[in-house]
Amino acid sequence: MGLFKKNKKDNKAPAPPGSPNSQESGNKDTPMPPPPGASSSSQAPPAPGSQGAPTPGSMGAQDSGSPSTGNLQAGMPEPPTPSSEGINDIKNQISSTQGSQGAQASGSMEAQGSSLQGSQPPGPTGTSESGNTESMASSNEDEIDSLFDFSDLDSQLPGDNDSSQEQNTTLPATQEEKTKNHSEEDLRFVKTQDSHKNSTNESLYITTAQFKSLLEIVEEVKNKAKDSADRHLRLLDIKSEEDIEYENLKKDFAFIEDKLYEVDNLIFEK
Amino acid sequence: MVERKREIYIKLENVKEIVDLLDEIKELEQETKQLFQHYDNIAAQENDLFENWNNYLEDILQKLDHVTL
Repeated sequence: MGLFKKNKKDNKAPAPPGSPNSQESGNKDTPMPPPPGASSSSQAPPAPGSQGAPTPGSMGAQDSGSPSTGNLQAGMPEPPTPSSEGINDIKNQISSTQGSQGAQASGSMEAQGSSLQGSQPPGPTGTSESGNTESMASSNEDEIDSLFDFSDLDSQLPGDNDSSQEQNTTLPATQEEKTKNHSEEDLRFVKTQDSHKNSTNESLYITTAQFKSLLEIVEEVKNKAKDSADRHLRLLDIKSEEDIEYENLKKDFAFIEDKLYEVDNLIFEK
Repeated sequence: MVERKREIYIKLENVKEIVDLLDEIKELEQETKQLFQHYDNIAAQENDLFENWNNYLEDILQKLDHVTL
């Protein structure tokens, strides 16, 4: 989860100076988690990584009351400050949860943890305003780290998955490059022969203007083919008319020839 | 003022088939041109034959005019 990762990084920053008051005085100013019955959406917008929230069993009691959770919300909008009664309720809950960390029923704590997980908005760090010491912050960090399995959460994050996928893709890519270079050396002469054929097998990306011109060319070729077919039909018609005329001429010449033979017989037989 | 221009690309698959088809069309066009050239040659020979036939017929008509019975 990105919030918890941020928390881990932000906790390493030096804690701002705060008053050496107790934790309770600091919690007055810090945005407190909503009461167990309160809905998360009413208090504040849900955290962006609420889908990848840890399992309810992994949510600890310290999470609801840990002052270091304020570092989670660094840079996030401040939630509406709860009323004083709500703060008192939350204080009581925190004190009760801190007193009985392991003995409390898991259901109520899960509800608190889930409500915290979904609803706790970012705000000023609890250590800055509450005046907790750095040791307190570091101990709370360790507790949170021990309670949450960040490796599992990181694997569930989409952004982190992207980075991990990128790493996974880059590693095979380098292997593929090595094998490709090795195979290229072996198949260099084959590729030189089939380079033209391989280039034609690939798909081609063209712009809309090029596609439009291509369609125009295809349409032009289509029109030319149609004109050629029409002209061929006209030539066939002309040829048929020519054949008819040739037959008529042949008949006429045959008639003339017969007449000439008749004349020849009349003249020379007499 | 930033002007953004989004270009749309169209993917053409089976480019090899398209190229083969265009090559075939080009070959057919060349064959058609050759056939038209052959037709022009035949038409020229036909005109020559018609001219010779016209001369032959005129000669016959002149000879028939001289025939007296």
